[in-house]
Amino acid sequence: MAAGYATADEISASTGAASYCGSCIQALTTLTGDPGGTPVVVEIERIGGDLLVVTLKPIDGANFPQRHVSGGHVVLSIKDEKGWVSRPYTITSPPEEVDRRVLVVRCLTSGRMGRVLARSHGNARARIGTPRGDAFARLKRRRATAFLVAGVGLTPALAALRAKNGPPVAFVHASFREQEPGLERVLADACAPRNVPITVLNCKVVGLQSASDFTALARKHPGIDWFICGPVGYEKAVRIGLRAAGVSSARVHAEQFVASSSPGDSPPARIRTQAENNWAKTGLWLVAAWCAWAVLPPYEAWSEWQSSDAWRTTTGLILIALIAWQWVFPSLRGRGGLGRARRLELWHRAIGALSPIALLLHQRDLAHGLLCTLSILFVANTIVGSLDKTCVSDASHRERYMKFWLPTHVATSCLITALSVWHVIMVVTYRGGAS
Amino acid sequence: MTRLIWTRARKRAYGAAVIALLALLSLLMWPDAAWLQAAGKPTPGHENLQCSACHMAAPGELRQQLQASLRYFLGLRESPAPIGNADVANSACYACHERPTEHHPLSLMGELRFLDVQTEHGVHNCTGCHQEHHGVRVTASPTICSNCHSDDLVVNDPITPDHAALFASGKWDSCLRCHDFHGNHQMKTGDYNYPSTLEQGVASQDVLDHLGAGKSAYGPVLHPAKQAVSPK
Repeated sequence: MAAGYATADEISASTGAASYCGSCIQALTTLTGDPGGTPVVVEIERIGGDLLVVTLKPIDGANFPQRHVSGGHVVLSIKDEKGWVSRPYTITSPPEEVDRRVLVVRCLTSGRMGRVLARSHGNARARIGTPRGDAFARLKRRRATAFLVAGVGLTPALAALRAKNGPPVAFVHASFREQEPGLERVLADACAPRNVPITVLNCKVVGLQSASDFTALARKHPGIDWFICGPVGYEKAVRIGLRAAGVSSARVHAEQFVASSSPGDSPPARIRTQAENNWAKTGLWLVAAWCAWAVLPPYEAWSEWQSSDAWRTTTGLILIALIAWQWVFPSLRGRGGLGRARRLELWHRAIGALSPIALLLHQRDLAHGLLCTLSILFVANTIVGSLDKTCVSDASHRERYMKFWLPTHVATSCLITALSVWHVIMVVTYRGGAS
Repeated sequence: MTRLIWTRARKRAYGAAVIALLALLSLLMWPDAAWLQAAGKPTPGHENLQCSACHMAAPGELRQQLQASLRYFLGLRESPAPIGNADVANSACYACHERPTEHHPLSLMGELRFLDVQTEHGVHNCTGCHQEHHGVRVTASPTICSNCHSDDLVVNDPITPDHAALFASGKWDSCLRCHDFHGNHQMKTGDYNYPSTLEQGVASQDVLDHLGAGKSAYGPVLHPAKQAVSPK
């Protein structure tokens, strides 16, 4: 900046910053306050789900000043209420098309750019930076390359297929998490002119591809190069599979997804896993069962059975043990043992969800006063625990939600623990009549 | 020992927890809110009793009580030792409810011939039938009479249907329609100051209401409870 470069694009061009993967471009934009680049008109075509084909044309109707290299990427900057948001994307249009650049974008509303694009109706103020990078630089042009792609990671394959002088494509093997007709259509349109075979897998139907699937695939196609692009887990499975098939690492090329963010951005919202979702649902169903038990007339035989001292002591000790165990997770987090805490999180959720069963076994009736308060707090905390931050998909809403959720959950848990200790003391020190 | 990491979110959460715990502590220490600490609703008529009216301190110091309890759990002592407060004794009930007349006095109920029913139902203690904190007058079954009276023989039985027929048909829930268990109510009706038919007696539902928390099913009380413990 001291040398007179005022925009992120100029700094990138002069220093090479953000030219390799582009993940630090947002930091440069925030630093300079100006992304630079060419002002463009944004045309958005929704191709199903959260997928967009974004076509960018210079605002003055002229051609772009530079041709890009097949497999290159470009930084798209759009202004929102917080300022400029810049993200790098692979250019999927051929280098010969100099009047437009076409991107395929998965528009996640948990991300800032996703939110801007979702709201955009073609009137967004946007700029596009100088094209950078060459994802196909290491490919041997004379050797055929198979593209193993997953989800929106098919963009390098589109770039290779559409470019007149792109790498020769042996076949495209695409995996989608569910049926993605928009992506399939875009891929088929790109493959058709060159008669490139395509395999499309719907992972919801056939399951996630494992390393052994890719080993088998590599053994069927010896002597070719492999280009991988997809989520981290997918790329890892492909690499392991190809290595097991004896493919040299020099023949394996990859483009990785990178996450960029602004310094003030909310952290990306973690999506609730299937297991977490199942435990949350289990907890809510058990709370509903407890409510039904509280409302319905007591079942005499059950009440009599519960009256046994041995039964009540045993189930009471189980409840105390469950409450004590639930404190291990926050204690680990508080001490910075995030790895161990993460491993325990599902157990924390599972035990919290199942705890109404222990309460139903122990409790004879709704009781009275503080004891009634304890049981209501206990089931209320199961509801609070089930409705944790992962049920809010939007990152900024999630942050606001957490401001109320965490104090509620912690304060309720502390009250439950204190009231349980009080209950144990009362049970031990206050006795009914002698028998 | 690893130090806790106090992020702003964690400070806010545990700040809320400290406020909640202080509120709970204040509630526990507030004398007027002592009823909140009871295990259940009081027996009708006991609403104004203090905890200490029935719960007396157990003998010995806490250390001795814990020691004795440990010995009991290890099998070195025959009976469990109370910790903190002793079992509620009959004397606590008698402080208010001792009367000159009683149809089922504890002196009788404590006789050895009733050992089985003492073991099963604890009838030698007031709390055998009147457990506190259940919100009802009587916690025993209304058919408890069958434990001692199933072999009774009433000569020249004046009632219809007669006692033998009622016993044979197992209608033990009908006893309290004509008999006031403790005899503390005026029940003058019929030729013998007792009903001679079930219809003249108290309705079944009224008996159940009386045993629960409803209004008294019988006549006026002969000997009201003494105010041995000053109400709050």
